[in-house]
Formats: sequence, C-alpha cells, structure tokens
Amino acid sequence: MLTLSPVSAEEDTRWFLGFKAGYFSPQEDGWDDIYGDGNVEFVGQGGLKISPKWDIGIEGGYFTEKGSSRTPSGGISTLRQKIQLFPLKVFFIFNAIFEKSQLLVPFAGGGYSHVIFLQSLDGQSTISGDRSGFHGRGGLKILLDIIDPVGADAFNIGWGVKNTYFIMEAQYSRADDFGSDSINLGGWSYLGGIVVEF
Amino acid sequence: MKLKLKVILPFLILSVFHGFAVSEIVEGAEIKVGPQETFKTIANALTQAENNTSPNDTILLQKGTFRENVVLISGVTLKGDKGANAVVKGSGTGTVITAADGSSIQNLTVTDGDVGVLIPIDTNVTLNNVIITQQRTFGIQCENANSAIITNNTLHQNGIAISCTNSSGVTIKDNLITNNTNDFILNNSTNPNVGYNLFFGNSLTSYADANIRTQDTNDITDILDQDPLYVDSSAKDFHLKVNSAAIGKNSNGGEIGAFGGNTADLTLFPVLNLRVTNEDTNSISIAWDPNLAHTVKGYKILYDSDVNGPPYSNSVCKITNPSYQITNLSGTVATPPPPSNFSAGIGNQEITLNWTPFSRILSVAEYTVYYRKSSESTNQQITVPGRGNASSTVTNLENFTTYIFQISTVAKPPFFVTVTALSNEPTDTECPNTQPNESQFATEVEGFLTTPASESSLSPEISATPEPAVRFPALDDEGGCFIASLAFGSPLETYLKTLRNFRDQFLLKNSGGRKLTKLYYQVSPSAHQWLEQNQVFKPYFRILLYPMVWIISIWMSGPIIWTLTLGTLMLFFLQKFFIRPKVFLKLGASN
Repeated sequence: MLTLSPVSAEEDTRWFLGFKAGYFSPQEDGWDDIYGDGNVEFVGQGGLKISPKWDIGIEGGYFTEKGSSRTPSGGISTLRQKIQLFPLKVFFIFNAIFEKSQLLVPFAGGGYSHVIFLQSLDGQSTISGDRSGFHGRGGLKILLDIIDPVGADAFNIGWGVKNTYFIMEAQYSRADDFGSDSINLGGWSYLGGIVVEF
Repeated sequence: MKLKLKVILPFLILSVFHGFAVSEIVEGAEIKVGPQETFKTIANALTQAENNTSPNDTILLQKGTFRENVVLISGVTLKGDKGANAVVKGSGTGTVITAADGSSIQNLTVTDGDVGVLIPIDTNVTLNNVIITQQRTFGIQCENANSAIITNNTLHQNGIAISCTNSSGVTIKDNLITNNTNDFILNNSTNPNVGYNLFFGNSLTSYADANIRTQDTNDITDILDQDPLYVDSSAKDFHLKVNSAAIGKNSNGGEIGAFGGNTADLTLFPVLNLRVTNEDTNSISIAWDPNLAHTVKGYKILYDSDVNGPPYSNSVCKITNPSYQITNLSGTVATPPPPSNFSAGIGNQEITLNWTPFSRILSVAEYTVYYRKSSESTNQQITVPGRGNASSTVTNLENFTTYIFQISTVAKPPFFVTVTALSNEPTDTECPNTQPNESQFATEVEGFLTTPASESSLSPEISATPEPAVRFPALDDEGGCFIASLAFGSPLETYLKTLRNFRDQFLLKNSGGRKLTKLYYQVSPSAHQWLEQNQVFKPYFRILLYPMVWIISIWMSGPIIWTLTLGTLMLFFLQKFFIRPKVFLKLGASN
C-alpha cells in the first residue's frame, strides 16, 4: 500500500458524506416474475468518524419498479402497478485502515434498516407503510487523493475535503419486521460511488 | 481587298466583343430553399449565391420554417414563394435577418429574435410584404442607412416596430403597425417619407403622438386607433377581415399591410378543421371553419373514391357556406378478411382486445366486436370505427365470468374529400382547374357511404375472464388520520402512541401547549389533504418526524434519562470539536 506524499498529507477527519448508485435486487419470492430482475437504487449517506477505523452513519435511498399486476388466478392483468421503496439505515462500519493515506481500505459493517414503501395499482389508491429489519455491508474504498494529489489539495483548500474515496459496496438487507411479517422488502444491493471525508 | 479588311475587321472584332458582353449580362439565378430542395437552409443558398457569377440572385423560400439568423449578401433578394407562407424564425436572440446593400426582402414572416430586420450602415434596402412579429427589441432597425424602403409590411407584437437613426431617405408607407410596445422612432433621419400607415394598439405611440395627433391638417394619410381586424393574429394569419379599416386605404388605393401592394402574395390560407358531419347511403356531409379573409369569395370541394390525396377527379365550386353535402355518390366494395392476431388482455370488469388492423385497405371502415358469456348463445356487439384502430376495451363485465369474443371487418365505399378557399367565382367549366390565389388543400378527410357494407366472416373465438388485479407484494395499507399517522401509516404505530401520549400528558396541561395543539388541529386537515395528494412526500415527512419522536420518547422516559442523555451528547461534542483543538493550540503556543 502506498504512503502519502508530503504534498497531500492526511489529517484527522470528523465527518463523511457519500453518494452511491447501483443495482438493487429484492429477495421477495416472485419479484422477478412481476417486476423483472432489479433496478437502479440511489443512496445518500453521511455520518461521523468516531475514529479512523470506526464510522457511524445514516443512509437514505430510493428504488422504484413498475410491472404488470396479476389476477387472483395467476393470469397477467392489463393493469400496471408501481412500487417505490425508501430504505433508511443506521449503521456502524469498521474500516481496515492501518496507516495514513492507505490506498485500499476494506470495510465491513451493518446496522438497522427501515424501509418505507409506496405501492400503486391502476385504478386504485396508493397504499403506504413500512418494514423494519437489519442489514450488513462490506466493500472496498479506493483513496483518490493519491491519484491526483494536486486536485486533492485544491479540494481541501476550497471545500475542506480531506479525503476522497471511490467506494464499491455490497449490502444485504432484510426488512420483514424482524421476521414477524411474511413479506421481505430487503435484498441485495451492489453500489458504487464517492465518499468524501472532511 | 486590304482596305476592305482594315475597315471591316474592327467592326467584326467589336461585334464579337459586343456579343460576348451582351451574353455576360445574365439575370440573377433563382435558388430554391426548402425541405424538399437541394438547399435546405438559407445559409447554404447564400453560399451558392456568393459563388454564382450572376449578380442579383433570388433566394426563393418554399413552404416551411427556417430556423436561422440570416446575413444577406449584396444584391440578393430573399423572398417567399407564392403560396409558401415561409417563416424565418430566429433563436430568440440576435438579429433574424441582416440586410445588405441592394438587397430586398419580400413575402415572408420573420419571428422570434431581438431584431427582426436590421438595415445596416450605408445600405439601400427594400422591405415589402413582410410580416414581422415577436421581436423583443426592434421589428425593423435602420442605423445610418442610405435608403430604406419599408412598404406594405405588417409589424405586430414587437418591441419598437420601426427604429431608424441617422438614416436619410427612409420610406415608411402602407404598413400595419399594431400591438407593439412602441410604434416607431425616427431619430435624426432626414427626409423621411411616411404615410398611409395604420397604427393600432401600440402601448407607446411616440411617432403618432409627435407627428400625427398634433397635426390639424387634412393631409394626414395615416390611420390611428382603428382595428385592422386580422383573421387570427395568434395563429399568425394577418389577412384582413371584411370591414377592416385597412382595406382600400394604402397609397395606391389598395390594402395596407403585408397583403397589399403590387408584390403581395395573394394566395389564400388553407381552410381549417375540415370534418365529416354525416354519412348516408349516397351522400357525405362535410363542414369546416370559414376562412374569414375579406378576399375569400367561396370554396371548392374536391373528392375522389379510389385513393387518398390529389389529384381529385371531382370538384364542386360556387360554395359560399362552410358546409356542404356531397350527393349522388355510389360505390362497391369487396368482402374483406377478418383481422388477424386477435387477442385479449384481462382487466378488472373489462377485457382489452387487440388485433392487427388493415391500415392499407382503404375501404375498411370499422370493426365489429361480438361477445357473450360462455353460458349464453346471444352475442352483444360493439362497433370500433377507423381502419387504423387496433384495440378496444369491453367494459362492465362480471369478474370471474368467462366471455367469448370474436371480431369482423366491415368495408364500405370510401370517399376522400378536401376543400380550398377561392378569391374568385369560377364557372363550372373552370372549376376543376387551379384558380388564381386558390389556397392549398385542407387536410383531407375520409367518409364512407353506409351502404353497401360488406362484412367479413368472424374470427376464431377467444375466451377471457375478467378479474381484479392484486398487488405484488401483497402489502397492507397502513394509512392513518392525522399528519403523523398519514406519514407513518398505521394508527397502531408505536410512534403515534408516543406523540399522542406527549400531547395528553404534557401539551394539554399548559396554556402554551394547548395553543400549539389548537394550531395543529387547525392546520392539519389541509396538510393532511396535501399529503394525501402528494404521497411521494410521505417518506420525507417521516424522516423529519423521526428525530422529534425520538427526543419526545427520551423526554417521556423521565427527566433523569433526559438529562443524562443530553449531558452525554454535550460532553461528546465538546470533547471532539472544542476541547481538543484548544489543547493543540496551547501545545503549539508553548512550542
């Protein structure tokens, strides 16, 4: 792992913000038949760096899919339906960071999930509700400051951003009110994006 | 012999050169510009004109809208072709047409710029029969122009209609100047020749006030404050209606405005909204919106039975009302086949049927759908008009009941009809021919005789059972009654309980809390209604309410818990953000 040059020395960071997008694949049985395999999910996160190794944060996301509805006998109806999910998560993360300006930072963590849903069907009113559960996450952060030290310095001076990472992350979530509901609004997320620390 | 040659030869040489000189005086070329022409843009045509050896080329715009800012070259005429109704449309900024010395602009519409036409320094330019509208600053601007002849134009809804500064020999005559921010301004322009203009509806009337209203002579030729009665200015039809104050009032006794004068394009605009109003066994009735231009003397109906589009084999003239019944029609049709790919889609108390239509068989008038319950033998039927229709929904069916469906094609004798507006009254012999200034064809309509009708055999039966749709996943609606329950969902939500407890145990027990509660119940029905109509915002309301609910939960747990929690948070933030930096500063100072 490369060490940082004196030009872009890493300082202690307190907060982080990130934006990610990727693919969310719900795990509820039969989802593929109605809506297809999955769709794009957008996620924004922010939080506090308790220490260089430990983060605590909150995250909000958005996911939507449309598909044909079914009849009670299992046939395909001409009526269309749409579901929107707003996953909210509180999480802890452990970053495997052992020296300043570490290029590759594996991380893992998890926490509480709360998914709010809106579901609409042609000709009927939209219904809403929520499900609670948990999630686990893991991935890799790549420090971009090393790739462009001059840009990183400018970002620091102009915006106070000390570190910029490209993040790749996989999450597994389960949102079925901790097993008390038969419907699980969680699934697998595969996300990529940018996280800045300042 | 030698003497004869000495005398004759110079003449021979001179005549040869003279011949060459005569043959080099070539009239300007006509360069057509339009979607169907070699030159699609005015800019390309100007490049060609520049490369031509002939001077004084004419760029002839065909039907269409040309979205460009144009800079003319010297000597070029930019002109709309007869009947083309060509439009030069700017990008909303800049000058739409910049004239050049010796250039002229005729018979077109200029819209959507800062300046419609700019007549530059030291130029002689002629502008006639042009409609200039929707120019933000100036309709026509001339700056230090040598000579500008601005006659028989219509300037409507511009900034300043005409502005000429330091321009000598400006002629502004026979123009309609209406609904502009200002009529026109002549600054330091010597020897202006102004007259026979009509001013109406301009917000500021700088010229009219300074030069017309204050005169008390009988020689005033301009017309003030009389509505020119455009046919439809919003649709950019600036023809004049009957009884317009601008008719017969130009400097030659003709019409003031873009459709007056010797070079006007008098082609009428097409008739609009042509429609079939009735179909019968041997007649078809049609109607259309009347063309209100004062030069319209009547209409011509053209119709045919075999194919759509011109030429039409039948015509009727001497029609003055905007409706007509075409009689003595007859025809035969072959039996069509039934539609193919007939299928059914299931809905809630309805079935949507789809098929492949016969878009190219002109005699196909409609389709007939037959349906019945599987337990019955008598069919009901629905007529689906239009050969291009490919679907129909049968409604008011019983869910969970199987229905049988079939479809057939119905053919009837078709007739294709169009209408033109005429400015003359041709005889029966003259009627089929194109008349002077006859408008282009209206959008064609198709009508059918009701008999003979030929119906195809029925398609194979298909069966379908309407059913309600179910959501997937089968989630329950957790809707509630006031704002928080609307945002959160279920009335049984733990969070709602917390808020209600807080209301009952704290808010209602003090006057401030009671006032807050009263205000909340005054506001919440409207907020509730808004949130019901904008359900996508429910999650965001939840996000805003969660912190409040958590704080209230801690508060309700008791003052000791509340104090401990708050104290811990304060210590944490103080330690992280205020104490440590001060420690470092101290250490730094001591170093």
